[in-house]
Amino acid sequence: MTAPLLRLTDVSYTYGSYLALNQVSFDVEAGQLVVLAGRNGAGKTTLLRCIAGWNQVTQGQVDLMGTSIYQAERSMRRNLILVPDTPPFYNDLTVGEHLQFIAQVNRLANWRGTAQDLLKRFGLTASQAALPAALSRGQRYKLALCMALLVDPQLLLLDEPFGPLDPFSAHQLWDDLWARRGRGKAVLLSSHQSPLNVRPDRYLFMEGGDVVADGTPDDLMDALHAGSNSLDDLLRATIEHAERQAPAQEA
Amino acid sequence: MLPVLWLRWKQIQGIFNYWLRLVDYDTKDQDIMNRAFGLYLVLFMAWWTAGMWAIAAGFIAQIGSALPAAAAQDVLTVMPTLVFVGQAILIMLKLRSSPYKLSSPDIAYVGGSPVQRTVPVTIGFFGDLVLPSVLSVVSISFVAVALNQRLGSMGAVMVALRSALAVIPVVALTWAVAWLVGLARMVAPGARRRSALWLAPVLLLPLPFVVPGVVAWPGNVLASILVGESVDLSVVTPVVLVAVALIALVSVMGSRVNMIDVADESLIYARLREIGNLRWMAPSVYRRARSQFQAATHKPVLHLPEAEGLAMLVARSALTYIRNPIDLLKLLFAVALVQGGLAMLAYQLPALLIVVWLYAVAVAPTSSLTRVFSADADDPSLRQFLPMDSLRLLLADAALPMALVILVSAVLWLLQPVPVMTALLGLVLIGLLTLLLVLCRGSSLLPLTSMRAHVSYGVLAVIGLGLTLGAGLLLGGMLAAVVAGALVVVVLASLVAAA
Repeated sequence: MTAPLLRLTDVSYTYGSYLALNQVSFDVEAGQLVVLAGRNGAGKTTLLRCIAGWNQVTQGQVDLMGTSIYQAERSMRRNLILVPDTPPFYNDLTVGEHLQFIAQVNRLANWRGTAQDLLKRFGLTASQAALPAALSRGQRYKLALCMALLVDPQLLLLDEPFGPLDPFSAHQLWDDLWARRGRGKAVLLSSHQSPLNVRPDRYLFMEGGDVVADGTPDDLMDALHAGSNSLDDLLRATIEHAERQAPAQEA
Repeated sequence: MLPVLWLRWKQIQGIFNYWLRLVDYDTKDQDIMNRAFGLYLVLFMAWWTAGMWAIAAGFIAQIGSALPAAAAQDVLTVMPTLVFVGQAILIMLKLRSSPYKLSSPDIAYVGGSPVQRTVPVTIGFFGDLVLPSVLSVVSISFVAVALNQRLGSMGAVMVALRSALAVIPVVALTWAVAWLVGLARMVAPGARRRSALWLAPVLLLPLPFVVPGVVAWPGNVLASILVGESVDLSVVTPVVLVAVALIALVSVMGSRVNMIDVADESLIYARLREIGNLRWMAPSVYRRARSQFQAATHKPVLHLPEAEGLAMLVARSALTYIRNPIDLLKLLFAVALVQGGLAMLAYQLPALLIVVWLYAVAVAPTSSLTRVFSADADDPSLRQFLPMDSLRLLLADAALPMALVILVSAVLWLLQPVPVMTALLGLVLIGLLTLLLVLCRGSSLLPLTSMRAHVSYGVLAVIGLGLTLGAGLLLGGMLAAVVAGALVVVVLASLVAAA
């Protein structure tokens, strides 16, 4: 039996005495597009940072393609990229030079066509010669997406990708991610919002550092008695469900 | 004028209050115990300052006693040129952007008000003068104590006091000249559009050879007091008069400044001021923000060359330095440190000087050696795209600045009249000391231990370079320094590789 692309086993993380993640376990298979949702402070960003190896988990294990990321930290870099919600850049390289640098330092073959295609699709062709400091927040996020999509890792992690994007670009990104899924690559993204009328393969809902609901949109709609299988309705239903459960558990 | 003065006073109060609150003193609390705590703080600070000054003066006196008799004569020769070069550099800085800067609230409420422009500009000038005056007074006092040990401790202190008083008008004159030139650029039609104008003071550098009496005059006056040659402060009177006249001209020129231009050239300053005390609490965050704001105003020159793997890292590093030539100039600090260390070993200078050298190593702005690596290592978001270990990344990123420092240091070293064996060992040491500086800088940017904690550059540099130079000084040979340096390089390199 092959190992899942990503497996989290009882992952916990604490900031000082604050428990940000509490024994989180789940798998992500190749070719899945999974949306991680939850309220502010639910632990979504911390979870993504732990998966990417930016934060060292306090307890538990993160495996990528059957290997612990802490044992093979460098070799798994090509297979896993996280785009944070406010990505940093090299102040002295232009937009085009960022893509050239990333491609050539990673010895990517035939990268020019892909880079031009990405820049065109995300509306950055005209900004190729600009420095990142001259870009708007949305454009900066698009540049970070282009860099990540150029490397094309097995698992792409995105933190709040739709927040800085206009509706057109958000749909464009969703289409790109869906296409990646079709090529057997996985995506795990955190979001409060998603483009209209799109459905991921799975939702993972977090509350207070725990994954409180995990399933396809339709399964969750039935289980939580939500009004529809949209992200808004499912999130509301999850929170209400979690709040109903909490007093019962305390009792 | 009064409202602007009141505003500045409140701002200074705000800064003081912030630091006082850090030591748990609340200036608004009228409670007797709080006031008593305030008195205790004042007394403690006075005692601490006096104690520290006495310790430092004692230490400086020991170094002064070990200095050769010709040192005072050397200062007399070098000081006027140093002062002039300092003036030229300051003029360059004030020509790069408006010498008078506005913070964000100032842009809205001072620049946007119909107040006489003379008032904020003059107040801004004096505000800009405070820190360099204090630093000059402190440093010149120590130099005076070191140079005048032959006069006895009381005599040296008297020269230090006279030098401290004399340096203030020299600093004021220097700042007034720089501000006048800077304000002239703001006022002269079309001058602001000439982006290379700030390089013009380079043309002044031959002047000490053409009219030495005029341009070296303030430096000569200061040097004569510093080495105890002039005991009468009246020689400073002409400097004071010229400084006052120039400050008056700054005020007059200030009245002609257009605040729209000043606000336009204050944008980076204003945004950095918004960071506030984070500058002191988190200097790396401040530096990153500053380089981002500065980069936003640059137009990129040249293109990233074609290369792959590690060669691409070197190519990117070269492009970054070409686009930031100031960082190349800052490498001269590293050259000076390497030369200083070599001179101590080659000429077996007093071992106590190692403390001064290590202090210089710890505080000198040599971060430009690892400017590119710092961008790679600072944030995991960019680091994740670079598929090599930290040691290879550091060496590739710092290859160009290291090569430049080694090249310049080697040329300077080979110009010295030393035996062949010493020259050869010196060349090896140049490489080792440069590599150590890079490794210490690089290591400080990475979480090194199993606790993933950062060790500061100052600690790493004092230990690493202190062991190297200390071995050479204590065992009396450059070979010992080479062996010690090589061992430290191995340890630091393995720490970086494993980080």
